[in-house]
Amino acid sequence: MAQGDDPATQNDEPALLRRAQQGDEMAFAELVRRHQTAVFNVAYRLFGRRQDAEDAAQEAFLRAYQALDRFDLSRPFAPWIKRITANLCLNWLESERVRPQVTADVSEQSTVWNDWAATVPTPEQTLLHREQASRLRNAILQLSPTYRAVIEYRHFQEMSYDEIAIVMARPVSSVKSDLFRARKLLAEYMQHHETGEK
Amino acid sequence: MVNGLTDDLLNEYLDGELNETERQEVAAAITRSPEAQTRLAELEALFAAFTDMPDVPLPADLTPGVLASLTRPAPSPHWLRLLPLTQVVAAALLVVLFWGALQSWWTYGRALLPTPLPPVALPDVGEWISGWVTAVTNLSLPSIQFNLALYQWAILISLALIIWLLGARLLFTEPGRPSGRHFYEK
Repeated sequence: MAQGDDPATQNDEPALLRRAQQGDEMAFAELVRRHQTAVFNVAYRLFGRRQDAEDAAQEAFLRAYQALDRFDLSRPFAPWIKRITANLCLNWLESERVRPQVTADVSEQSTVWNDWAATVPTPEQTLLHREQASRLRNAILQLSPTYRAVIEYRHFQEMSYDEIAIVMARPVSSVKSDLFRARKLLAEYMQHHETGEK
Repeated sequence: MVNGLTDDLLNEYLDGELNETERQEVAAAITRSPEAQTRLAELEALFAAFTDMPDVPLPADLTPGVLASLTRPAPSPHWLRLLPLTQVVAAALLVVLFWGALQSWWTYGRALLPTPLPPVALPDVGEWISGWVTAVTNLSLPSIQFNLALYQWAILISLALIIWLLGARLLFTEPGRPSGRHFYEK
């Protein structure tokens, strides 16, 4: 769980947001510290390149700061900033500001496996999960920008079809069609590479 | 399609986007179809892989970089926020004060309404146009003189300024705020 999603750290978040809205940069810095890993990971899943993901995360925080006056304090900050990041990344991908990347440039060896330590009993299973995560990360990067975005919104930001349609300014039927097609492609990619490795 | 179950239905079933009746019908249909069960298992495995995908650690703290590039303008002073209103009031005052003058302009120099200022004698628009028509016809430039008083120039410049402000979307827009709204901020 990213720090920003931790309920223990969310209690004082409205106060931080209020101070940030009033121009308190230190309050905003605290929000950045809490949510930067989650925001970076949104961008990393969509770009697959660490440097691009860092740039996008930084830009997303800037845009959030500039739009902070319009943020509804009764709502949580994490979904909002993650949505800004995903939309920004999609724009960059569509405008080809970011070079296409088909494999992630961070080894799964270095990913955060703390959550796994308690649930995965054997080193073999850990290795298996790492390989699966790596395959999935690379499979997502094979998809078109639109397919990547619908997967991100649905599976990592847990948005409904209707919410995705609003954010992407597309009909719900198109969102569903893209999502199902993207899943089919991912499943085929995963199956193909699993078979290929055996 | 697997025995009447489309791939779309299986996806919506797993996404929890079906109503209760549809959900029960699809669940029953799945139990009757080994093919549908296989497809469902594939999708569930994919969903589980999404859930299990761990976060990549952040290479470096982004906070200093973000702080260094914060560009949000400080909240505008109260008087500056009233600037668009002031512009509108000033424009309205101008129109009221010089209404007679404006009327006289449109009616070739005759004052129709009382005004605190003397009526204006501007060039006759009809003559102006016919002068140009004649000029174009005769391939020569017309001789038109602009005998405007200083305050008349002020009216014209003020009107031009208001039109320019409206055109540039500076009027009726809060200072320091872009007039457009980006979809990513929704």
